[in-house]
Amino acid sequence: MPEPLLFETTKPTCQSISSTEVRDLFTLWNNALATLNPATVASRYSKEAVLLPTVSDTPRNTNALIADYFVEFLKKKPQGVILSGDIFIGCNWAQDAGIYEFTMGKDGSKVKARYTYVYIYEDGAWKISQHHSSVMPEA
Amino acid sequence: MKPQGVILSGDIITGCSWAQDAGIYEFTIDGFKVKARYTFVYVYEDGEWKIS
Repeated sequence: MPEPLLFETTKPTCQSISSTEVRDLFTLWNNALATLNPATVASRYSKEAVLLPTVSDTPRNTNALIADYFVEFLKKKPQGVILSGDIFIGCNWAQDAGIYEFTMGKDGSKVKARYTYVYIYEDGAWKISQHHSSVMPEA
Repeated sequence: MKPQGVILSGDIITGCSWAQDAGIYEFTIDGFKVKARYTFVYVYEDGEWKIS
Protein backbone atom coordinates (compact mmCIF):
# COMPACT_ATOMS: atom_id res chain seq x y z
CA MET A 1 0.00 0.00 0.00
CA PRO A 2 1.49 3.36 -0.97
CA GLU A 3 1.46 6.07 1.65
CA PRO A 4 -1.47 8.43 1.14
CA LEU A 5 -0.38 11.79 -0.19
CA LEU A 6 -0.49 14.58 2.35
CA PHE A 7 -2.85 16.73 0.32
CA GLU A 8 -5.38 13.91 0.23
CA THR A 9 -5.65 13.73 4.00
CA THR A 10 -5.42 17.42 4.85
CA LYS A 11 -8.74 19.14 5.36
CA PRO A 12 -9.19 22.85 5.87
CA THR A 13 -9.17 23.78 9.54
CA CYS A 14 -12.05 26.01 10.47
CA GLN A 15 -11.26 28.55 13.16
CA SER A 16 -14.17 28.54 15.58
CA ILE A 17 -15.87 31.82 16.46
CA SER A 18 -19.13 32.56 18.27
CA SER A 19 -21.73 35.16 17.35
CA THR A 20 -20.68 37.21 20.37
CA GLU A 21 -17.07 37.11 19.22
CA VAL A 22 -18.10 38.19 15.71
CA ARG A 23 -19.92 41.17 17.20
CA ASP A 24 -16.85 41.93 19.34
CA LEU A 25 -14.87 42.40 16.11
CA PHE A 26 -16.96 45.52 15.55
CA THR A 27 -15.85 46.74 18.98
CA LEU A 28 -12.22 46.31 17.91
CA TRP A 29 -12.93 48.40 14.80
CA ASN A 30 -14.77 51.03 16.85
CA ASN A 31 -11.90 51.14 19.35
CA ALA A 32 -9.55 51.69 16.41
CA LEU A 33 -11.71 54.69 15.39
CA ALA A 34 -11.23 56.09 18.90
CA THR A 35 -7.46 56.22 18.38
CA LEU A 36 -8.12 58.75 15.55
CA ASN A 37 -5.21 57.10 13.72
CA PRO A 38 -6.10 56.15 10.09
CA ALA A 39 -3.34 53.51 9.94
CA THR A 40 -4.66 51.83 13.10
CA VAL A 41 -8.16 51.65 11.61
CA ALA A 42 -6.77 50.40 8.28
CA SER A 43 -4.91 47.63 10.15
CA ARG A 44 -8.30 46.09 11.06
CA TYR A 45 -8.77 45.24 7.35
CA SER A 46 -7.39 42.19 5.56
CA LYS A 47 -4.79 42.32 2.81
CA GLU A 48 -7.33 42.18 -0.02
CA ALA A 49 -10.14 44.00 1.77
CA VAL A 50 -12.73 46.14 0.00
CA LEU A 51 -14.32 49.13 1.75
CA LEU A 52 -17.39 50.78 0.25
CA PRO A 53 -17.54 53.69 2.68
CA THR A 54 -20.44 55.86 3.83
CA VAL A 55 -19.39 59.19 2.36
CA SER A 56 -17.07 58.44 -0.58
CA ASP A 57 -17.92 57.14 -4.06
CA THR A 58 -14.57 55.41 -4.57
CA PRO A 59 -14.37 51.69 -3.71
CA ARG A 60 -11.33 51.33 -1.42
CA ASN A 61 -9.55 48.11 -2.40
CA THR A 62 -6.04 48.72 -1.05
CA ASN A 63 -4.82 49.35 2.47
CA ALA A 64 -3.60 52.81 1.38
CA LEU A 65 -7.00 53.75 -0.07
CA ILE A 66 -8.72 52.50 3.10
CA ALA A 67 -6.42 54.57 5.33
CA ASP A 68 -6.97 57.56 3.04
CA TYR A 69 -10.73 57.40 3.63
CA PHE A 70 -10.29 57.44 7.39
CA VAL A 71 -8.05 60.53 7.29
CA GLU A 72 -11.16 62.62 6.58
CA PHE A 73 -13.71 60.48 8.44
CA LEU A 74 -11.75 60.49 11.70
CA LYS A 75 -11.75 64.30 11.76
CA LYS A 76 -15.40 63.97 12.87
CA LYS A 77 -14.32 61.87 15.87
CA PRO A 78 -16.89 59.15 15.11
CA GLN A 79 -17.99 56.43 17.48
CA GLY A 80 -20.39 53.72 16.34
CA VAL A 81 -23.04 51.52 17.96
CA ILE A 82 -24.73 48.56 16.29
CA LEU A 83 -28.50 48.94 16.65
CA SER A 84 -29.48 45.64 15.02
CA GLY A 85 -27.80 43.05 12.86
CA ASP A 86 -27.70 39.45 11.70
CA ILE A 87 -24.62 37.28 11.99
CA PHE A 88 -23.68 34.28 9.85
CA ILE A 89 -20.60 32.13 10.52
CA GLY A 90 -18.76 29.98 7.96
CA CYS A 91 -15.37 28.28 7.74
CA ASN A 92 -12.77 30.96 8.47
CA TRP A 93 -15.20 33.72 7.60
CA ALA A 94 -18.25 35.41 9.11
CA GLN A 95 -20.64 38.13 8.13
CA ASP A 96 -22.49 40.71 10.20
CA ALA A 97 -25.07 42.92 8.46
CA GLY A 98 -27.54 45.42 9.87
CA ILE A 99 -27.91 48.99 11.05
CA TYR A 100 -25.49 51.08 13.05
CA GLU A 101 -25.40 54.63 14.29
CA PHE A 102 -22.48 56.99 14.53
CA THR A 103 -22.17 59.85 16.95
CA MET A 104 -19.67 62.44 15.79
CA GLY A 105 -17.66 63.68 18.75
CA LYS A 106 -16.75 66.86 16.88
CA ASP A 107 -20.29 68.28 16.73
CA GLY A 108 -22.50 65.72 18.48
CA SER A 109 -24.39 64.88 15.27
CA LYS A 110 -25.76 61.38 14.77
CA VAL A 111 -26.09 59.42 11.53
CA LYS A 112 -27.70 56.03 10.99
CA ALA A 113 -26.38 53.78 8.26
CA ARG A 114 -26.69 50.23 6.97
CA TYR A 115 -23.59 48.12 7.32
CA THR A 116 -22.14 44.85 6.11
CA TYR A 117 -18.92 43.41 7.50
CA VAL A 118 -17.32 40.24 6.20
CA TYR A 119 -14.55 38.97 8.46
CA ILE A 120 -11.93 36.41 7.49
CA TYR A 121 -9.35 34.54 9.53
CA GLU A 122 -6.04 35.65 8.01
CA ASP A 123 -2.55 34.99 9.38
CA GLY A 124 -3.91 34.03 12.79
CA ALA A 125 -6.24 36.99 13.28
CA TRP A 126 -9.78 37.98 12.33
CA LYS A 127 -9.74 40.88 9.88
CA ILE A 128 -12.37 42.77 7.88
CA SER A 129 -12.46 41.42 4.32
CA GLN A 130 -15.32 43.55 3.17
CA HIS A 131 -17.10 46.53 4.73
CA HIS A 132 -20.05 48.24 3.07
CA SER A 133 -21.67 51.28 4.70
CA SER A 134 -24.48 53.39 3.27
CA VAL A 135 -26.85 55.99 4.67
CA MET A 136 -30.47 54.94 5.12
CA PRO A 137 -32.15 55.12 1.67
CA GLU A 138 -35.46 56.45 3.02
CA ALA A 139 -34.00 59.01 5.46
CA MET B 1 -39.88 47.90 -13.63
CA LYS B 2 -37.99 45.18 -15.54
CA PRO B 3 -34.63 45.84 -13.86
CA GLN B 4 -31.51 44.50 -15.50
CA GLY B 5 -28.06 44.98 -14.00
CA VAL B 6 -24.50 45.14 -15.29
CA ILE B 7 -21.41 45.04 -13.07
CA LEU B 8 -19.13 47.95 -14.02
CA SER B 9 -16.25 47.16 -11.66
CA GLY B 10 -15.68 44.94 -8.66
CA ASP B 11 -13.25 42.98 -6.53
CA ILE B 12 -13.68 39.26 -5.82
CA ILE B 13 -12.29 37.21 -2.93
CA THR B 14 -12.89 33.47 -2.68
CA GLY B 15 -12.68 31.29 0.43
CA CYS B 16 -13.78 27.85 1.59
CA SER B 17 -17.40 27.41 0.46
CA TRP B 18 -17.90 31.17 0.26
CA ALA B 19 -16.97 34.13 -1.94
CA GLN B 20 -17.47 37.87 -1.95
CA ASP B 21 -17.86 40.33 -4.81
CA ALA B 22 -18.02 44.06 -4.09
CA GLY B 23 -18.05 47.02 -6.43
CA ILE B 24 -20.30 49.16 -8.63
CA TYR B 25 -23.18 48.03 -10.83
CA GLU B 26 -25.70 49.79 -13.02
CA PHE B 27 -29.38 48.96 -13.41
CA THR B 28 -31.50 49.80 -16.37
CA ILE B 29 -35.07 50.25 -15.07
CA ASP B 30 -37.87 51.39 -17.37
CA GLY B 31 -35.23 52.86 -19.67
CA PHE B 32 -33.52 54.81 -16.88
CA LYS B 33 -30.05 53.98 -15.63
CA VAL B 34 -29.13 53.90 -11.93
CA LYS B 35 -25.61 53.31 -10.61
CA ALA B 36 -25.21 51.73 -7.18
CA ARG B 37 -22.58 50.14 -4.98
CA TYR B 38 -23.05 46.42 -4.39
CA THR B 39 -21.76 43.69 -2.13
CA PHE B 40 -22.60 40.06 -2.69
CA VAL B 41 -21.51 37.28 -0.36
CA TYR B 42 -22.13 33.83 -1.80
CA VAL B 43 -22.18 30.57 0.17
CA TYR B 44 -22.23 26.95 -1.04
CA GLU B 45 -25.43 25.62 0.52
CA ASP B 46 -27.12 22.29 -0.22
CA GLY B 47 -25.04 21.85 -3.36
CA GLU B 48 -25.70 25.30 -4.78
CA TRP B 49 -24.16 28.76 -4.62
CA LYS B 50 -26.56 31.16 -2.96
CA ILE B 51 -26.40 34.78 -1.85
CA SER B 52 -25.74 34.86 1.89
